[in-house]
Amino acid sequence: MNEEKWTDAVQNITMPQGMAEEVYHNCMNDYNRKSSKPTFNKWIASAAALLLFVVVFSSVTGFNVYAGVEEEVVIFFDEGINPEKVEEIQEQIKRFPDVISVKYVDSEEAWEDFAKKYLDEELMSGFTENPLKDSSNFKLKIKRDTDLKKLESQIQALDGVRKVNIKGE
Amino acid sequence: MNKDNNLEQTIQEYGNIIYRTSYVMVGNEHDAQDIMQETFIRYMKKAPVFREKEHEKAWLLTVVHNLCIDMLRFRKRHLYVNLDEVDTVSRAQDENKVIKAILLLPAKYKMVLLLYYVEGFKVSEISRMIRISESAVKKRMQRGRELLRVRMEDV
Repeated sequence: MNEEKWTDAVQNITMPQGMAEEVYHNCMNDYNRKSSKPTFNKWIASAAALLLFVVVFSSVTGFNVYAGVEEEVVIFFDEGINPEKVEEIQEQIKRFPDVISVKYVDSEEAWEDFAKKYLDEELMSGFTENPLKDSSNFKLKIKRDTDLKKLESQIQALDGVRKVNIKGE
Repeated sequence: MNKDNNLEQTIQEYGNIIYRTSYVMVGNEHDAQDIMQETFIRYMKKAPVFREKEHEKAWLLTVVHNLCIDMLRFRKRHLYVNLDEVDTVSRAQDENKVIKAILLLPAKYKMVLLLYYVEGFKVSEISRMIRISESAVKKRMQRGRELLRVRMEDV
């Protein structure tokens, strides 16, 4: 095969017209939105709006706003599990009434977090493969008053789940 | 240099590289733009400092690789590869055929081929960038070349 032929073709791919500007503006908007520091007046206005929302929401729905949520459960999968199975587990977990949200953390992210906390650049360069390649996991946000033992056994019973870590146990 | 200027300059310098890598990896313009955008947002937030220009390019393409892999995973089974869209990517008919053949390769082969042949990284650099061993990089390149040869005969 002539490498030049396909590399030239790929090198000739360029951004459609206007995309660079669009990306630039979207990035700046995202950056400014997240880094903007609210003024004192904005803080007051936000706090008042939040309080009003809480009062109205609580009175209308009877929802206990003080129950809160906490991230307490991490679920690891069987080795070599396929993405379809991971999604199936996610769907099953979402159906548990005490689970508020499920976040997928892939093994790369798990390794990066670990490396950031415990390794310097030189040590990291010694790894050519991800040593935590079987550490993809789900992090759950669950209701504060959840029966953790019950939830743990329910999740542990799911096909494809290797381990369930309950925070603080 | 402020964030505005820095970002603008970085997009000018690396925009096409990031776009074409993302495009070949995910197979459609819309997702490629999303990946490009997210890459530059991370660049702004992390504001990494590089000793050499090549390190900057390697950093950006490593982020692109990770984002593409994430997108692949979350897109359930396979990515949405829009072959009709290819005709708008390049004006030359024979180039479009070649690009279509590349788009249909599995992602793990595409990335090493792109980094090696198109962006000019060494095997050892690719190994560090996508965190696989050098022998795995070589194997993927060999397998990728074989598959591409077959695909190019079909198109």
